[in-house]
Amino acid sequence: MISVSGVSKTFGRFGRRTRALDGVSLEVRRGETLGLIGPNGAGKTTLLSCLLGFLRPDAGALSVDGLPVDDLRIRARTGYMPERLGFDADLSGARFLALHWRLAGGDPARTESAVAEAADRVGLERPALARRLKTYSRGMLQRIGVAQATLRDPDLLFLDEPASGADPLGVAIIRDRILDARKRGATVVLNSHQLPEVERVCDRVVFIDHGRLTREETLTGESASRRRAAIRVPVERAIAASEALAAAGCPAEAADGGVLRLASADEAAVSAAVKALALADVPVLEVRSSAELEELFRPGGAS
Amino acid sequence: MARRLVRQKFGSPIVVALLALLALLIAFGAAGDGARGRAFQTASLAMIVLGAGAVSRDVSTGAVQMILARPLSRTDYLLGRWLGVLAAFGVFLAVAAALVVLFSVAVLPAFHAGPEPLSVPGLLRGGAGALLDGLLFSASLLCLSTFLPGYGDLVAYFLVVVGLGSLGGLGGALNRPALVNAARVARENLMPDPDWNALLAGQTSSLEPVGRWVLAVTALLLLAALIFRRREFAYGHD
Repeated sequence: MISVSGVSKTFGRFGRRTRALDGVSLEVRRGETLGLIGPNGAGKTTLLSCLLGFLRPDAGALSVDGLPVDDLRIRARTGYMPERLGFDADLSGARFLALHWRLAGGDPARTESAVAEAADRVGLERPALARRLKTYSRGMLQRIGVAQATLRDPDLLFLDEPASGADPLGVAIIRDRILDARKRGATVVLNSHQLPEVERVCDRVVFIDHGRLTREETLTGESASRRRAAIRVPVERAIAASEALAAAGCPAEAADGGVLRLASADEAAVSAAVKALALADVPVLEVRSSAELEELFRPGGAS
Repeated sequence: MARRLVRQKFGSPIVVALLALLALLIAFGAAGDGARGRAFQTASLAMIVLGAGAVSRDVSTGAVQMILARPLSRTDYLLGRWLGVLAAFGVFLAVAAALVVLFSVAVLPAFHAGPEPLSVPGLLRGGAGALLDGLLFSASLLCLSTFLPGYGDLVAYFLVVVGLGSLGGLGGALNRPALVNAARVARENLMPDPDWNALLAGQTSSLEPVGRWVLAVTALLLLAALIFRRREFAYGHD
């Protein structure tokens, strides 16, 4: 379990001090996937850097399974992908992965096969592996970054904007690798601005603003606190649909484009709402369920 | 880590070209003096390209965070970088020595340049002395590289050299023996310069400069480890 207790961190000196983290406390359970969301400059990367031992907090404490975050036993189980990949300019993709395989304590005799497997997992082909990293596009760098972070199947995975700059296929591949890690019981901390991706892979999100943890939302399981269902109907039938839903005891809030947001997202409520619309002869164009994390970014946040 | 640094350095065509030029200069000079070691005194210049930015380069590219997220202690990382610098310097010295031999026995006689006869013990002493000088130089650069950005380690090193020289000169000009002494003591302890050639040839038995050299190398490495263990790495405050 990852434990963060009252962590504060300030940068700068004298009159130009920036409080990047201000008394952040949270716990991440073993096997949980936690999303860190918040505006730019909120302190998310600082929190990740503290969790990895790159920064020392001014106050508070961090631990992983009761050990200091920079303990080498923890590092041996950790995979990390920074927002900007750090690498030697003359390094090829294959050499980069081989270097991290060895640094991660991988068997030197298995380096070649491990590199090939890691590249396959993120859809990097052999010719790309032979090329120097400085010739890679941003999306390719993100893919190889995820490949190096998941070498040796770490059970602690820290990812900082892993899908930033990736094309749709890359985003899907990166998502699948995170889901793989989740399936095998790894604890994942994901910092991302790609809210639909966060929603798809995370069990829980914490919203950080001005260095403070302002909200926490559970996205999966019975305690899911933010999941919302929405039904889209033809715009001209939106009023009739609202009335039908109200009459059926399924209150819904009308939004633009014929979208009706249901008060509850559980299966029974959605099923009852669709049935009510069918009985009222209102065509249902789309039913979707989402956590609507975007609302957290609006001034005042969502209630 | 050591292997990675050697690859980084010899992977750069500019570094290789500069080292090749320096090795040729050493070979010409050493062949002329029978490889008695004087020409090897310039070999420490190779440390400028091999030792500068050993840590700060990794910090500026962000590679250090990715490496330190692995099960590798900061001390091991630092030691690996330093051993890599020394290994690269060793390779350079071996190439320079091979060129000295080549020039002495084949190239210069072919041009009737009349070189001094090659002295293998002189060649070995020259190489060993250069390696020991480079060891202290690299420890100084490594220590400075743990907290200065880019090639600030090299700039700071030369500022210290020039500063100590100026302090002594200033003390002399102002007729202040205390200032002259302070500059001398600082130079002798921070940058001890034992006459390795004479020591290895058994021409002198004074071990005092060697003791200062050992102390300086040890102190610089310990200081580097201390600074690097305390150092923080951030890339933005997001």
